[in-house]
Amino acid sequence: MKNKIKRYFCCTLFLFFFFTPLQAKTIGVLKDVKKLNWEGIEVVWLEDNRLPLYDMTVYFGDGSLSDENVKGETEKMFSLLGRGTSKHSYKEIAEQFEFWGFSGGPSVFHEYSSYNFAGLLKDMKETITFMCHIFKEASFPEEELKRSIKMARLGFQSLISDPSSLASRAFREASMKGTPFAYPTGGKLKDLDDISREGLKKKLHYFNSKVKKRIYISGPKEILSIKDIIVKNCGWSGKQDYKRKVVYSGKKFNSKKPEFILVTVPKANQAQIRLGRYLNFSEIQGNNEVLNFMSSILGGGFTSILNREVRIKRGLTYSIGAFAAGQKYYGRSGIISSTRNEKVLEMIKVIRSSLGMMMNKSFSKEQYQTTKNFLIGSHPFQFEKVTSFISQMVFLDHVGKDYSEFYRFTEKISKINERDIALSAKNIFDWQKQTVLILGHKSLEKTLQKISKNLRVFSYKEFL
Amino acid sequence: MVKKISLFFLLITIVSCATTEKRELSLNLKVHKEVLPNGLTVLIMENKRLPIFSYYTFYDVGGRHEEKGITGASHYLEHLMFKGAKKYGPGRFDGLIEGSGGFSNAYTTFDSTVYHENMPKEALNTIIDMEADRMVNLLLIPQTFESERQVVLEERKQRYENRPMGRLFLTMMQAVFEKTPYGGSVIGEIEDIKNVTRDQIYNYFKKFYAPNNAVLVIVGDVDTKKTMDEIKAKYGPLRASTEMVEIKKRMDDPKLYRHQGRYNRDIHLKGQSPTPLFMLVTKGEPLGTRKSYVVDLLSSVVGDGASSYLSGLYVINKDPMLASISVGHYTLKKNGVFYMIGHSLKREHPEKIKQTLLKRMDVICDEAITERALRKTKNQYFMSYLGGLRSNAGAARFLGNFEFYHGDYNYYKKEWDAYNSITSEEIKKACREVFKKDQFMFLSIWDQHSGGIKDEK
Repeated sequence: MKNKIKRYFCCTLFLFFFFTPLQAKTIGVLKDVKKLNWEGIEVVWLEDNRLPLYDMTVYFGDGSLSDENVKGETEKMFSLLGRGTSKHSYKEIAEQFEFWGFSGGPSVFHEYSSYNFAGLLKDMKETITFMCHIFKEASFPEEELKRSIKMARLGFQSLISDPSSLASRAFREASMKGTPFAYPTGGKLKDLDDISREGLKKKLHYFNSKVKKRIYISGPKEILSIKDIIVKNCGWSGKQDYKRKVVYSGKKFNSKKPEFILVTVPKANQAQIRLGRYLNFSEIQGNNEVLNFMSSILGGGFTSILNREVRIKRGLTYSIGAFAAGQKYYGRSGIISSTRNEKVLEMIKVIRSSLGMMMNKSFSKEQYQTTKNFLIGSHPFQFEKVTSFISQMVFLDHVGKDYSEFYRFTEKISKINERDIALSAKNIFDWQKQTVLILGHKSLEKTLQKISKNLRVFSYKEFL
Repeated sequence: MVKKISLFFLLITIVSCATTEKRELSLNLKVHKEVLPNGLTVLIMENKRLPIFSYYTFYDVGGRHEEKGITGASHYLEHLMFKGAKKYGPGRFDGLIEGSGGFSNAYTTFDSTVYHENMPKEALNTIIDMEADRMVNLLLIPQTFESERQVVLEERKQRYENRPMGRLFLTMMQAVFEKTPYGGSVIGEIEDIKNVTRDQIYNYFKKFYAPNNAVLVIVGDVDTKKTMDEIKAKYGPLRASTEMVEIKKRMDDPKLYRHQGRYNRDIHLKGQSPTPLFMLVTKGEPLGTRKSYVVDLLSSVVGDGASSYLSGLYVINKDPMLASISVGHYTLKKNGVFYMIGHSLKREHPEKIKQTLLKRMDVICDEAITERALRKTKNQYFMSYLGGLRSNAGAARFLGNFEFYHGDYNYYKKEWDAYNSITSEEIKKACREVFKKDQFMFLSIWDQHSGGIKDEK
C-alpha cells in the first residue's frame, strides 16, 4: 500500500514538472498555423520549412449522405477522378503523377469528404494545375468505369479472405441499423450496377459548384503562390457554401438484452468479435474527452484493462482494443478483437466482466493515473506528422470547434475523475444496449445459443 | 527574422539539370555516432521542434539465426521482451511507457529484431535504463511464457493461415529459399511454437542479446552530450558477448544462403480467394550490391505503380486480365528474391496467366526499359527518401537501417549515388539475366484448386 501511494505521488509530481514545458512547446508549433482567405475560400496554412515537400488537403462539406438514389456514388466519383479527362487518358494521368512522385487520394465519410495530396515543392505549380484540370474536366470514360466496377466487384468478393475487415464492415452496419449512418460510404455489391458515367459527372459538378471547400496546405511561404491556380484553374470560390446538415432525432434503445449476431464464413478457424453501439448526439456532445479517457482505460494500450484481462492474463487473443468517439452528429463505441473458436464464450465473459470493473470503478488509482498521463503526454505526437496535424484541424473545423481545443486538451483531461470514467462506461457500455457480433464458422451457432436465445445468423454475403 | 525552429537537416538541395534531369540529393544529417567499448553502436540526431523523441534498438538477430526445432524463437522472444526484466519487472515496462505518454512496439524480420519507443522528452533517462535492463536481464516468467505462446499462435493464424496472401508468401519463401536459413516464416512453424521451451528461448536470448550485437538510434528533442553520458552509465557496464561473435561467424557463412530452390515448376494452394492470387518468382540479389540496386530499379520500372509496363499491359486496358500486378525485389542481408505478384480478375485457372507472363519475357527488356521510365522510377525513389524523414521515428528507422545493414548511417548517400548512376543499358543487361523462362517458379492460391499443396513439375 505504501508503495502504491508513493508511486501515485511520484506520478503526480512527474506530471506537474513534465507537462508545463511540454504544453508550451506544443503550443509553439501551433503558431505556425495561419488562416487566409482566397476569394472567399478559407485556407489554413501550416508553415513548414523542413523538407522540400508540400501537402494539401481539400475539405468538402458533404459526403456519402448526398448519395440518395445511387449509394456509393460519391466515393466512386472521387476515386475515379484521375481515370480520364477531356484531354488525357488514365494512362497519361497515372504516368504524369508517378513521374512527379506525386501521391493523392480521397477520404469519404457520411457527412464530409476530403482529397489529400503531396508532392515535391519544385513541382508544386504543375501538379496542382494538373490536379485542378482533373477536378474540372474528369470525364469518367465508359471503359474505365466498366473496369473499375469489375475490380470493385472482385474487391467485395475477396473480403472473405480478410475476416477482420469483413467483421468491422458487418458490425458497423448491424450496430447502426436504423440510423442515417449505417450504410457503407462506398455502397454495397448490389449498388455497383447503378453507377453510371452521367451520375458521376453530375456528382462532380455538384461538389465543384455547390459544396463548401476549405483548403489546408503545408510547406514554406512559396506555396502561397498557388492561390491563383486554385481560384482560376479549379474554379473554386467562397460562393460554393453548401454544408451537409443532418436532422435525426436519435436511436432508441428499447431492448432489455444485448443483440447477438453471428455472421458465418466458411472454413473460418478464428472468431472475430465486435461489441459496441451507436451513440446519439446527446451522448457525445461535449463528452469527447471523457469518451477518449474511458475507452483508453478500457482498451487503449498494453496497460488497458482488456489487454491485461484478455491477452496478458489469459492469452486469448493477439490484439484487443476499445474506442468511443464522436463525429459531428453521432458517435460510435466498440471493442475489437478475435480469438480461437473454442474460446468465444470465455472471451465474451471476460469482456463483460471487464466492463463491470469499469462501471464499478474497480480499476486502480494507478491505472487511472497511467491513462491520464498517457493521454496528456502523447498529445504532442498529433502535431509531429503534417498529415496528422492537418487531419486534426480538418476535424475541428468540420465539427465547428476552435483550434483552442488543442490548448485546452490537457486541462480538460486533467479535470476528469474516476467517477466520470465509471459513469461514462456505464452509459456507453450498458450491456443491454450492445450489439455483439461474431464472425466465424457456422458451428459457432450452437455455442452462441447458450448465451443468447435470440441469436440472429447471417451469411457474410449479406454484408458485401 | 531568424526562424526559431531548429532545422532538422542542414542542407537539402534538389538540382534538376535540363539535359540529364539528374536529381542530386545533398542531405547532410547532423548525427553523432559513437561505439562504446563493449561494442554498442549509438547514433543521436537532435530535432528540437517538439518535446518528443524516438528510440530504436536494432538487434542483429532474426529468423535466419534460428536452428531446427526453434523456428520463430526471435519473434517469440520479441513478445517476451515486454514481459519484465530484473529492474523493471512484469507490467512495469508498458506501465512506464504509457504512463509517460509514449508508445512502444517491436518487429522481427529474417535479419533483425527492432524495438522502438516514441516518447515525451522527459522520459529519456527512464527509457535508457529500461532498454539497458532488458538487454541482459530478461526474466521469462513461466506463466507469462505460456500465455504468450497462445498469443503468438493466434498471431500466426492472422498473418498466414487466414490470409491467402500470407500463405502464398510463406510458401514462396519456403520454396525459393529451400534448405537455407530464409526458407520459412519469421513467426515460425506451428509445432515449433507449441513445443519450444523456456530454456531454449532463454539460451537464445543469452546468445544474441548483447551490446555488441545492437545499434541504438535516438532522434528528437535530446541533448547529445547528456544523452551519451547517460547511455554510457547504463549500457557501459554491460558485457559484450564473445560467444555470439563466434556463432554469427558460422551463421553468416555465405554458403548457407546459396539458392537451392527448384525452379521451372508450379505450386498450387487451395485457399479462400475467389480468383487466383499468384507469384512468379526467381532468384534475387542480397542487399547492398550494385547488382541489387540495378535489379531494384528493374523491378520498379517493370511493375511499380499504375503506369508501369506490366500494369499497362494487363490491368489498364480494354480487356484486363488482372485486377493488379506489381513487381518487387525483396532484398535480405544474405540473399534476395525477385517476384511478380498479382490478382487475376477472372475465375480461370492461372495457367493462362503464367504462360502469358512467360511469353512476355521475350520482349520485356526491350519494351519496358525506357529513359523516361527510369527517370520516373528514380523520382519516386527520391520521394521515398524524403518521405522517410518526416518524423523522428522515420528518421530513426532511416539512419538505423543504413547503420544496421551497411555499418554506416551515411550510406544513404552512396546508395542514392549508386541508383542515380545506373543507366538504362545496365538495367537492360540485368533484365536479360533475370527474365529467363526456365528460372521461374509459379505459385498460386485459389478456392478452385484441389486441397493441400499441389506441386507440379
